[in-house]
Amino acid sequence: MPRTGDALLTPTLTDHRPRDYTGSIERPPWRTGSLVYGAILGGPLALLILALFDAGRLRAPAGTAQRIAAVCVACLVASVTVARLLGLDAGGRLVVGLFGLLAFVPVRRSLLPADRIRAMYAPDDDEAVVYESIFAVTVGVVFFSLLVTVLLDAIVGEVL
Amino acid sequence: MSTSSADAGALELARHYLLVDQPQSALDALAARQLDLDDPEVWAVRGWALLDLDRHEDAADTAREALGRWPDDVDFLRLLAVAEAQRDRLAEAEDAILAALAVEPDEPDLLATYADVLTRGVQLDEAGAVLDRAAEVAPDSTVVLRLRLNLAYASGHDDEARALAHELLQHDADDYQGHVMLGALDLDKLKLGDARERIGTAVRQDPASLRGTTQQLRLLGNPLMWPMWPIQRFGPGPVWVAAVATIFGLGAAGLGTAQAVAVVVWLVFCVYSWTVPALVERRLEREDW
Repeated sequence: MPRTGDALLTPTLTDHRPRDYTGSIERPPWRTGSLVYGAILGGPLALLILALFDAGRLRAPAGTAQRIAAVCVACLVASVTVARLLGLDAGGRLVVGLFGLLAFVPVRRSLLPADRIRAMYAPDDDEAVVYESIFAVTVGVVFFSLLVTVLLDAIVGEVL
Repeated sequence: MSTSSADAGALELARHYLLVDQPQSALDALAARQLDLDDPEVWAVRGWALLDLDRHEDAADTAREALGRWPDDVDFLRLLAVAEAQRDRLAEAEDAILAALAVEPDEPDLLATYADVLTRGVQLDEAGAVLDRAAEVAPDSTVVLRLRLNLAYASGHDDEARALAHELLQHDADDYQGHVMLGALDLDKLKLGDARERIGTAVRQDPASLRGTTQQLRLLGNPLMWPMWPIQRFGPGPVWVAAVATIFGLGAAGLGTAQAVAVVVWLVFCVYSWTVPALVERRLEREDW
């Protein structure tokens, strides 16, 4: 007989929708490794935006998005604060990029299971390697992130 | 109505074909005679044969029809769960397998199927806990071992996955999944020779399989892709860290010219890494046509 109140046998996938591997209904994900360009050029904010979209496309579980957000927001605040404390202006861009790179490593690690599972269980091995190009999106997100980071920098400047 | 001896023979033949991995012959054997539809074995053989032929929707329909006759039959619930999981209809798969587990909560094959459904749904902690329970009941089960391997690989625990794949190959040296996993792990580590051998062994068993992986092997083996190997081997993050550290290290050491050269080399590499892999991939695709 079933064990009463067995937490292990409680449904957890009730909201799952079938994947579209062909890309005809759903957009294919971006390669998680390609997020590094956004992270370097646009810093943690660009990485946050790109990684959250990619997490959605990869069907990563909800906890993944929260982990990504926590890492990226912490790195964003740290980058702007460090750049201000060091009195960097032009060099501040570099600090933002370095913190983007720092955030990239755990962010990519968070996305790895969803990426591997998508590939492992693709109905066809050809479809397991279907990814969309991230180039154009990265350019847009990087410009947006730079703008926001400059604004954030100005606000932190007022506070410090 | 009892099954006639000829019908029993046809069913036995179909069961045999299913066991020797000839599902179409199994279906043909079933279709050759008017079999007794009150015999659950007829439905089971038909359902699993359809599943083996990758006719997942038909397999699910067969399981549902059979469940209309035998509502709590654990085998049909499991067949339905597996067929729906193959279609990525994980909510339906989970419903079916939980209904089966409500009848037999400690059946290792059912627990393993549920762990597979959870892994597909990226519920890795839950899948691990279910597999732990399955392993308590059946510590030597290769089904549980296979799913542990999938779970370890999905979780990024590559060393554990490698050890489990070797364990699987100790049970059966030709195990398809063991070779595929080791091939994928070797590919990640850029051991192209080993990966080619492993994937080749798997493809010989199933020539229609692994086209994407084989293509990736060809891509990485192309000389134009050699500059990309550090990224493939160590990942883009560590390579970027190394490049930035080198550039700044040269600057800090007062080697301005070397630093400028390093910056230019790095920028060229960045452009290369964005453009050349796509071009090589396109070229390989054209060659295939």
